[in-house]
Amino acid sequence: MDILYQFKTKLLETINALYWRERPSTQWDSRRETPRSAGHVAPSAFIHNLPRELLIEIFLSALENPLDVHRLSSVCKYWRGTILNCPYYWQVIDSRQGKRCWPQILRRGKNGPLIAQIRVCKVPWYGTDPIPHLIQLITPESRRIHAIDWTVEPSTPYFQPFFENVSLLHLTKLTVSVWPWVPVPVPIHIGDGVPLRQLDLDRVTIPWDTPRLGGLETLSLSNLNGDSPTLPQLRHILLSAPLLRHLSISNWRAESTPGFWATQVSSITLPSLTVLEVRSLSAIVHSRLLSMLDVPSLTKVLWNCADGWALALGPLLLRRSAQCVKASPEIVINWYKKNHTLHIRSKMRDEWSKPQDTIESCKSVDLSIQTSNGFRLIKQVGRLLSNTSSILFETDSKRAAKRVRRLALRSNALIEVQDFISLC
Amino acid sequence: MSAAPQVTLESSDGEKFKVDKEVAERSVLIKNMIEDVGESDNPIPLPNVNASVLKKVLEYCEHHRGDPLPAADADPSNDDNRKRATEISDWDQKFIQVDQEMLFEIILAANYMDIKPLLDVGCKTVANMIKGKTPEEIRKLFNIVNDFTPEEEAQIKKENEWAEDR
Repeated sequence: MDILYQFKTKLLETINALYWRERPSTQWDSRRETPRSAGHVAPSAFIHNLPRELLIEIFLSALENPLDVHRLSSVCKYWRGTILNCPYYWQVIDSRQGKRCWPQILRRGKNGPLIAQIRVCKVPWYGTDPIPHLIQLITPESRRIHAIDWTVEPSTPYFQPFFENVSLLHLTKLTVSVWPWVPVPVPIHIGDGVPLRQLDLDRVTIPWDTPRLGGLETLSLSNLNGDSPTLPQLRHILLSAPLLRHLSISNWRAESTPGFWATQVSSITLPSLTVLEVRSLSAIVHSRLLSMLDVPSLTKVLWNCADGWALALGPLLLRRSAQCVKASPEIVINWYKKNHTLHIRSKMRDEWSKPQDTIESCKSVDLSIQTSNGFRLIKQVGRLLSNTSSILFETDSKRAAKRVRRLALRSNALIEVQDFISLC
Repeated sequence: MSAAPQVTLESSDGEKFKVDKEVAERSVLIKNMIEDVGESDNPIPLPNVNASVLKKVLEYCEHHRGDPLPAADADPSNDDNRKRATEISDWDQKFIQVDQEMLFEIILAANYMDIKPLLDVGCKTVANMIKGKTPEEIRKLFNIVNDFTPEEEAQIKKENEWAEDR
């Protein structure tokens, strides 16, 4: 038995040692193997006991803006060496950085992925707009560009030609917004290449039939009118993007797109969609969009409805939001007579009193409706609430407070009414 | 009702800690070792973690024993993940309020024992200590010597000016 015991002990030690040795780059002792010139660090700097990989992770979490890499690389030679030799820190090239930095960033990023952040430069720099110079530098590196985040004045001459002339084969994340307001969205070409994962367009339109939309996980369209996309085009995009998790549409004038009134659009199921935000759509677009979507996995809804028509659509909106309302253990309803706004939202996880460190998935709803008659909608909400729900009802209307108190007596839900008039 | 299965861990300085298997298995290293070797009464040696650090690590594992394990495929380069990455729960914040030597020992132990949530808490804590500080303040905080030559410092200063030059 002694021999067996000794053998097991030896085996455990050997396995332990193997685990240790197999992962030298992340192990305890690798800090001692990390090449570092003598005298570069103080022996008592405990932070330098960490292996370089962990220091890299810490720096990544500590970066709040692209300029921080320069600050961190000025601490000591070891930190500077760590930062200069890690291309990840040099993947963001930003028009707000000094233009003499740009060649350095491109060089230090080696052949790693590049994220281009370009902003309207309102104050010309030395009398010239620096963005053409940035474009000139990143154009030869276009194969490295994985993400573009561009806010642009529509009149700038280099904006559309950039998308026409530069091959963005590896682009997966595109965020473009035109500023200030333009009556018709600015068209851009995105060419061929890998499928986009995230597309966020504001006052910008792209060829909606591109196969690059097939891998979308996030789609956000704002301020679109004119002829794109049409309702059938949007349906086609959604159908071809089975991985879509987040859809946001705001201020989309689809009713003026060709064939809107003539086309019958059948319903589609979006199995992966968990977050849906819809803001400022006209009543008819809202209605047709809602009736087109079947969203079984929805966990967060944000509706923001236009004035004057919500009474008819309210129950439909609530039905669509029902699964979120039902899943929310606590709901806050604001009904303000003064501005005719009914706002229903589930309280966020960190806002409410629960044992600390309790983790649970938070289903949420944020529904804002402008209507001159909130009572009918409140009744609809009342029907959706389960026994475990608790509701905080806030209002500036004595009449509404009275009615909801009456509703509370009939409901199984715990309803607390705050009447701001009487409080005043 | 049968008692929860337990394992014994042995620190580098020979101290033994008997803990529930579920707690010990917050460490991927230990979990894999138990799976490979099978359950045994023999202590599992942890030659790189001393008793005081192991006690702290086990305190963390005990508190988080029922938590879901982190997804292996979480993308750290994702902006949301990174943002979330700077948030630390109240309990974890209190837990990690230790002197610097202990803080870095905990990080190293979490790295060695492969306890990703604890490693994240440690790294986030250090990242939060760094945020918003000037290089000089960082040097003072961590007792780091400024080892740049005057020429190097001048060059770095120039580069930093370029970065902020608009």
